[in-house]
Amino acid sequence: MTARAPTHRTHRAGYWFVAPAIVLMVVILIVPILIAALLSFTDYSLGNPEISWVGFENYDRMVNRSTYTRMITATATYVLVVVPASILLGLGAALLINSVKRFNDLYKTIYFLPVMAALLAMAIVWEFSLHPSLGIVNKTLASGCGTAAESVLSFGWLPWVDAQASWYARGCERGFPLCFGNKDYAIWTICFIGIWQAFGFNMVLYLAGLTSVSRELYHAAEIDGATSAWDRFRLVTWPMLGPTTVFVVTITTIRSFQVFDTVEAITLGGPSKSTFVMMYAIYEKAIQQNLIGMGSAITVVFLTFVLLLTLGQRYLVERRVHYS
Amino acid sequence: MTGIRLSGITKSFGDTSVLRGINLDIAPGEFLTLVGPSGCGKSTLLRIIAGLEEQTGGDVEIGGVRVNNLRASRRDLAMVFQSYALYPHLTIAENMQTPLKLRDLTFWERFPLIGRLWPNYAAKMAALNATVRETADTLEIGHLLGRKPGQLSGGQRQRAALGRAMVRKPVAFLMDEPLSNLDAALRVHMRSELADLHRSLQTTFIYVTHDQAEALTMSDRMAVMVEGNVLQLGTPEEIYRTPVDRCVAEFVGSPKINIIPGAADGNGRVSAYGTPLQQRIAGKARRIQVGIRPEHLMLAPEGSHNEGWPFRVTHKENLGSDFFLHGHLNGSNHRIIARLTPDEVAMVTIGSEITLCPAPGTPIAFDEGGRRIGFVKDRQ
Amino acid sequence: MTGGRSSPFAEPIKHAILILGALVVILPFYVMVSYSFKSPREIETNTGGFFGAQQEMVNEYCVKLGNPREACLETPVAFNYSEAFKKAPLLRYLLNGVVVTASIFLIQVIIALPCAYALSKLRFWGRDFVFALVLFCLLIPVHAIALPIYIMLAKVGLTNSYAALVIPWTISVFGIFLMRQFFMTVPDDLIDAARMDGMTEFSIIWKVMLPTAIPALLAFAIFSVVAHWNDYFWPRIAITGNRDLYTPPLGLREFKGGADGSIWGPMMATATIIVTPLIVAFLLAQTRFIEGITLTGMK
Repeated sequence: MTARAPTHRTHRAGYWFVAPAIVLMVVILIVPILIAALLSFTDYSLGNPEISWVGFENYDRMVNRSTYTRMITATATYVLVVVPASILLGLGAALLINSVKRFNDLYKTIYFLPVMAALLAMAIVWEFSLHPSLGIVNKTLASGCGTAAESVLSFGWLPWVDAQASWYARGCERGFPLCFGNKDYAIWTICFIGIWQAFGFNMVLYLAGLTSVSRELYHAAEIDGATSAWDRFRLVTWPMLGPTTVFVVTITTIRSFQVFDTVEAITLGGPSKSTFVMMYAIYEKAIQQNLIGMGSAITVVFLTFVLLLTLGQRYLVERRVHYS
Repeated sequence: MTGIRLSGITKSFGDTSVLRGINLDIAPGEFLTLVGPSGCGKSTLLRIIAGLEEQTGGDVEIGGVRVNNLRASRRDLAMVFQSYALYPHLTIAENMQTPLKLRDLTFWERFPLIGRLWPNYAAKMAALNATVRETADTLEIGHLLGRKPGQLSGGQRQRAALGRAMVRKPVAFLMDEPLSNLDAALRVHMRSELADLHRSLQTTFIYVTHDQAEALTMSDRMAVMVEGNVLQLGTPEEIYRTPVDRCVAEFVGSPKINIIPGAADGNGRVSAYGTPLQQRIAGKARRIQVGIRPEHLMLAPEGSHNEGWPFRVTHKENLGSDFFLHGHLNGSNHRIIARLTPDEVAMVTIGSEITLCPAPGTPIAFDEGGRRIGFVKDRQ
Repeated sequence: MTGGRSSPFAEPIKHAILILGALVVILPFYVMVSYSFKSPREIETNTGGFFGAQQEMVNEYCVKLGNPREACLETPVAFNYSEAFKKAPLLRYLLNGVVVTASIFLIQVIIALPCAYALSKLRFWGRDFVFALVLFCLLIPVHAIALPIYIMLAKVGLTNSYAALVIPWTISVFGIFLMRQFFMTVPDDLIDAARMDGMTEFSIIWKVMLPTAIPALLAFAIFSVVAHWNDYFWPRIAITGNRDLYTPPLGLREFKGGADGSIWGPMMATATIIVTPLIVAFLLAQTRFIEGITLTGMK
């Protein structure tokens, strides 16, 4: 970059170039947020001739009505399960792939496939695979009844487990549980699909982070006496992956809050609102039931969470810079 | 104090041979430098001694014990890296604690957070911290213990890296070009500090550098390496005065040694570029090469033209304390550099012709293949 | 890594774990493709290997239409895939997908590139403010604006249109940010030379900056195309009745609406058709894809 004396010429073309972007930013990004914020204090519906203000009633419903408290629970469960799990799996996969000598690219490609495939399509396929009678998963488990597979998978070989009363045995008797139809299992299954889809993305980010760790640092650790993989991980790998981890947590969390496809395709928020996540709630309440006010309130809550997260990430990254 | 012995160390990466059979006996407590141009294999050899790389063939013995199968962490060696390799997320104190923690604390005592609950933890940490403090004070970085590497200057980081190596009181220190990231003035200062440190610690230092000046000033002995071989092992004095071949002679000393064609007559009397020298060699008459260092050339005293070389000056470099004169010996294209004092050079201008002669006893003779030919005493 | 002499079991165990993981990851893909080849009976009984024994089956719909049984025999794979295109206008949906995705990307580039150029290379009053605006908008997650934009579109009567599908995505602040960072690495001298040659600022963008930015643009293209081809949330909201405008995910979902036994095969065929283009593209240009998708990372 050459150092030059500051030119005082204004490039007026600049105004033309940024104008469309500014207009769109305001109209498409900023104005809608203001609208959402405003409408969250109303009970507006599309087609109403006028807007009537209801103050904090919508927010009040969110903490009191069971539909909405279940929404919070479902969303919170999903986020708190998917984020750590997909990050840990992504990190684990990255560490493993980084340390084996062959087939690294093959594993990387396979694990990244779910990220590329339309989640809606794959959610439907998962639903089919986990179908109580047709699904390949349940069928395979059922075909293992009475065979060696059962004795292994029921954990009967652990001394304190009674093989007869194990989950596998019960499944063989009464049919394997309905992953989606059972209100206790549905949210976990949705979480599973979310983890399946997300961890490949985190894995790739971690792989990039791992290759940027200086080898000399590992050498120094070795000389210092860090013999085991755990020592090396704790002393060099994990600290050096700090910035990557902060980023991964933020991105995965924001995406988790935005889950919609799996729920709309399979459970429609049920059974009994156990999978009634925020984005689906907005869809059902605001679009389907035309309760725009309520939908706006949920939008505002969602926005607040995400903003806090992102700002938190920025702050953490600023503080943790390892002047190296 | 422990000695280190390398026997027949070879190392190849696939078809490329990086080390071709290294034999070195490093005496206990000595400061040995591995010096050579880039790519000669000195860093690889150092890493093999450290245990960070495995040799293709040969043995490494530390204190008489063969350590080929011991990994780096068990060889009781310490290493200072070119980039210092300080843990960027830890303070200097924590950096220096790390080797001690890994050695003295058990797995559970080291575990984050809950390690503190172990009964011996506090006592061990106190002893550890005392060692760290002591070492830091020796290196005069005690006031920096609370800072992170990123907040330190290059020289301070270097000392911190040294500190981390020293706390373990290893049997030998391995240093991989530790001064090359420092600026020139700091480098000169650190050279003497390292030499002092060596004297006070009385531990074996194995030092790798491509800078021959560092090697000459700091080592007890130096090993000149070129392309995977040790060409010569000796004291700096020996390497400087009696290099084993032209390669070593040209590597050591700055600017490079001048090489002029010469001859030996039937009696072994040596002449260089037509001018007879005072030395004699054994053997029949043949052509030889004569090496004469720039600092050993002087202005011939008045009236002794037949004992010097006519020299046409093409370039003068003023270094303040000395002058470097570049030029040619009359009638040839051989470029010669001479280092002269300001007084000698006062009247010399570019284009002028002067006569240079060597200081007594300083020329070195090489045969046509480059090996040094030793001088024999005059019989007469 | 570092002269570690680990046990000989370590490597096989790592591979075992990775292979186990790979099986779980691949399972739905396997199911999807395999069952798109199978007949309803095979689906029910989970037989037939991967490709399904391609035994001719009777197409019930064809029979119901009054054709004799013998004329209604076809192999399962033919049945599944042709049903996929017949039951719903899949071809139309795919076309919609292409049109929408391409339009979005093109408009994004047209808006973002000049803006990025101005922010990185031109001096004008308010430039820092605009950049601050861009940074601020980066914080806004796209799903948060879905509802208000829907309302705005409904008010102007634009729901159920290509415009509705495309407009909200035309401004890609991420694209602006990315291209600006990239443009800042282009030497000023190159641009001054172009100015001396008489080029207008506008043509500089397309003739000078664009060619040098191809790698970054490619990565952004991948990021944008993958995101919008696979998008389901916004089309679900924006298209409220006009089936002709369905994007591929919407088409698949509609298919699923009334699931009875014989529909699984064609449904899996539809899913395969939707998912395959990007997977194939990915397999052909893996590094570029991974670069593009993880671009969000290297801010």
